[in-house]
Amino acid sequence: MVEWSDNERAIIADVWSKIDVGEIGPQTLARVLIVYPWTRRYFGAFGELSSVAVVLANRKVATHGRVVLNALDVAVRDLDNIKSAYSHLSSLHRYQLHVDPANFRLLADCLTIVIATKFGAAFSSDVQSTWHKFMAVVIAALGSRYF
Amino acid sequence: MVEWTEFERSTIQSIFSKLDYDVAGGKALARCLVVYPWTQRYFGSFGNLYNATAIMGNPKVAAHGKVVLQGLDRAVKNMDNIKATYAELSVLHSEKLHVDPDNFKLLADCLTIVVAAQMGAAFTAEVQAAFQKFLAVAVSSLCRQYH
Repeated sequence: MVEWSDNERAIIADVWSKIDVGEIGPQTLARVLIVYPWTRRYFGAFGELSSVAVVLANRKVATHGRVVLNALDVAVRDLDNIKSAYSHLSSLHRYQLHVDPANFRLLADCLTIVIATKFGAAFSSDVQSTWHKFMAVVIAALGSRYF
Repeated sequence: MVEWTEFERSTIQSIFSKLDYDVAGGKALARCLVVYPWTQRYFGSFGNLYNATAIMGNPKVAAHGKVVLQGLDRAVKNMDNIKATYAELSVLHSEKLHVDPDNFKLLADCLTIVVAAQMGAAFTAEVQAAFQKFLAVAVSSLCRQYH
């Protein structure tokens, strides 16, 4: 099981408390679609995604970005049980959505970058380190039903 | 050969022109040593790397970070020829320094976060895409002579 120090728990709770899901979710997903354009293949039903401006304005992207980021709340609230908490989500991504698990890391990277742009110098190396660990655990949990 | 749009060229020049080479390289390298602690094995002669505070304050880390950023500067000034520009550096990292090439991506990621934190909202999705493309080319060129 993953071990979290008190300091790590405090950092994750603090970062999460400062994240406005309504703002960060849409930005994060939009960045994934812009920076890693092959990910658009998962969102054929979202309409126009052919240019940066269009992705940024796309309401379905924004809505779905919020859905994804809201799901992180489950992990934040249950740090000691992320793998089992995400078991059904992992199966969903594997068996129904057929998402290549490599993409989880791309999303995590974009989220980390959005947080860095928001926090500036407050995103210190300690905070980055802790957040990176948290993302790694989430990614592993989401991939846990893929085999 | 890599093709760069006008936007990508001007974005890369602009980002690097605003970076304080005395500071940014050191910050990125320090973050690498903190967030990915196994990378400390390459810097046995750097003295105190025992914790984040020690690493962030270590003058040898700062000095070496500047060296690394000056190396990146050569790619910035030769964007149409990065592969050739880095041929010797690639041999150096492979034959002399014996650096696992996976580490280039880790440092690139840390530099991205340093730049994102510095630029805040100005580090838009398009800017991120251009910056990551540039770093991907630099990393790929550094890997080129490893066989």
